[in-house]
Amino acid sequence: MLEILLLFTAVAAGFLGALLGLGGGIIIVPVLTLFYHVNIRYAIAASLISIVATSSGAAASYLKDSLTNLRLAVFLEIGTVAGAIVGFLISSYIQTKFLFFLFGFFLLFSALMMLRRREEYLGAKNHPWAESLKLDGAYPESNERWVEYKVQQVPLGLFAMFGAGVLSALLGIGSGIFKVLAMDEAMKLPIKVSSATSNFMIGVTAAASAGAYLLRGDIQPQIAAPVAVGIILGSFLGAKAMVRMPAKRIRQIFVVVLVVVSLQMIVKGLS
Amino acid sequence: MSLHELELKISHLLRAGVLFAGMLLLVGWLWMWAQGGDVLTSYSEYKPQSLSESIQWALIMNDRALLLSFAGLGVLVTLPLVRVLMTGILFVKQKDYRLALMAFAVFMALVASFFLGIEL
Repeated sequence: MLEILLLFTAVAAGFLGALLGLGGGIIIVPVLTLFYHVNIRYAIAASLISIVATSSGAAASYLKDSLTNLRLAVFLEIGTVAGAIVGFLISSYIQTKFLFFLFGFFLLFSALMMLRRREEYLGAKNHPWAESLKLDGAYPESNERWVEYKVQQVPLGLFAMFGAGVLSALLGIGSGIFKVLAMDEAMKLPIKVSSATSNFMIGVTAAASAGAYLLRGDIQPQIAAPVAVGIILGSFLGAKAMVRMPAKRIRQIFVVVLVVVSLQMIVKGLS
Repeated sequence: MSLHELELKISHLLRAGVLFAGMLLLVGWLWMWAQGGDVLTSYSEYKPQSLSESIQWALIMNDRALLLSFAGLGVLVTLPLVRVLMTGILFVKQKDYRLALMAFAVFMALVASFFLGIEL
């Protein structure tokens, strides 16, 4: 019975993860540790599997629906992977408690900024790098109208991805939330494209960590299997819902999740 | 090949891979559940056991449910790496060498971290 409940929780996490470009770890880790009293190492390992499953499950639909910007994802992955390697190398020298606190407040501030911005702001002009690499694109809105978008402040976006990679390695958190924020706020991409592109990217770095955890034996199939099955189902449903859902609603849900994550981080920083 | 055709190819690969991994995990999980019931609460303590040890044990005990689940996890974890590699190859086909190079660089970094046990 417990495992069936976990399956349903994973469906919800997969749905939310696919919709917002996040991994679902913010739901899976607390549920496993607080309700099932699963050891934190097994819970983190299962959450990595949830990120990989969300990413692969949703990416299949988003690529077909032209919501993922594949060229941009590949370009920004350079920043994320470089950041993650730097984060891994400096992790033993950094006191992470303060970082949790600092970035918790940063996310809370970002949530307020997003809340103030009610409408999508699409850039009218490409950054020269975006022009050179042909990073701009178009996506279908819910009413089947195609919306063209440009990509702005590419160096800032790349730097933010580097930062997201460093933070992800230092704090052990999925960096999807930072990726969506960077694409939305810095690069002025539509929220649906930011979310779908983040979804594509988070699975790539999580897969490397998940591989390390799998080889070490931290991924227990008895925990990871129901999580993965539920997440795959949820991510298929989330990807379908995102295509139909208005951008404004996705932004509102993202802000709520942003507040929850920021409070989780502040509490971690204080404890 | 247009960009959308490229995206469709990766999309088909992902969908097939995810469904295959999901089926293996579902069958493995239901089989394990039928054999042992709910075991989640028994994971409150961390007991280190490497993947090779777990697979050896499953082979000795002929635990096919566990083997199926590990196969599912293996497919799921390697999917994003295959996705990056395939993206690189498809960018080469598009003669977009800059993005192909970026994709291959990411792929190499991921494979290295995978085998060196670096958590990115």
